[in-house]
Amino acid sequence: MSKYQQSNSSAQVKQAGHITPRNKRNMLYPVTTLIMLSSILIILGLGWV
Amino acid sequence: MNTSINHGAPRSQTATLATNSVIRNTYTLLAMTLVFSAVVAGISMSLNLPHPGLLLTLGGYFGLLFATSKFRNSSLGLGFVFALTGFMGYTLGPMLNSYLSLPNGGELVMTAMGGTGVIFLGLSGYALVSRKDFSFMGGFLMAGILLAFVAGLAAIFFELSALSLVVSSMFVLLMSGLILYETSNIIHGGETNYIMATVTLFVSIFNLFTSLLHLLGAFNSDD
Repeated sequence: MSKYQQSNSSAQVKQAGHITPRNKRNMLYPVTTLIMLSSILIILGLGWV
Repeated sequence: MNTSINHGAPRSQTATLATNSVIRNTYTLLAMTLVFSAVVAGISMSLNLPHPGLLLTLGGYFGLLFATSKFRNSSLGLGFVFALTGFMGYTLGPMLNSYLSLPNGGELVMTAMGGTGVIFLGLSGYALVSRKDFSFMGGFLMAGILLAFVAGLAAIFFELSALSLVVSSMFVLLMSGLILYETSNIIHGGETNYIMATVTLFVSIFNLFTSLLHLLGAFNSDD
């Protein structure tokens, strides 16, 4: 399997006419999860006066 | 579907059109979710709803994030985006009420809101107009957010108010970087799903606002 092949959105990316390296596309979902956790941290603890 | 695309060629017209469509849809959905979340936060404030607590907040945020991610390629994903942003608005309500009970609370909230708007519009505009590739920031942002998160946990458990201010400042910088990174990611075709792009931008704006509010509140208090 090529290092550019992905299970989910590779078809969409190929349709768009380019291939984005794996690290560029997959970076965001762990980041989204982490900032979501950070939101909870701020809402429940840090954000209070 | 289209088999005639040459993958080795520079970005084609199809790719540019697809990118423009993702940008347009992302900003439309982002505007709608921000308004919806603000309305829910307003209702939560006016009804004086209590904070849902750790378990419900964790379950609500991650359950709805998981559902949004799972259905990101269908219209059901749109419903989950509104459910997620609405729920986040609801959790913001009690926090805003506590700030508004301060003598200059209204001013603080409005300043934080204005600051968030200026930062978001400025950074998004910069990324859109300059078309620079900010993908090099990915690793730095991931490491920074992880560090800020762990430091935030330490600040809460050990009740270190100075550290919590440092963490809030870190979040302001990191969320600003994330707005640049995500906008650049959409422009350069790294994010082709506008639902997930909206979620990332929404959560960045949400954290930016709450972190700014915390900083402004701390520096405005007389203690």
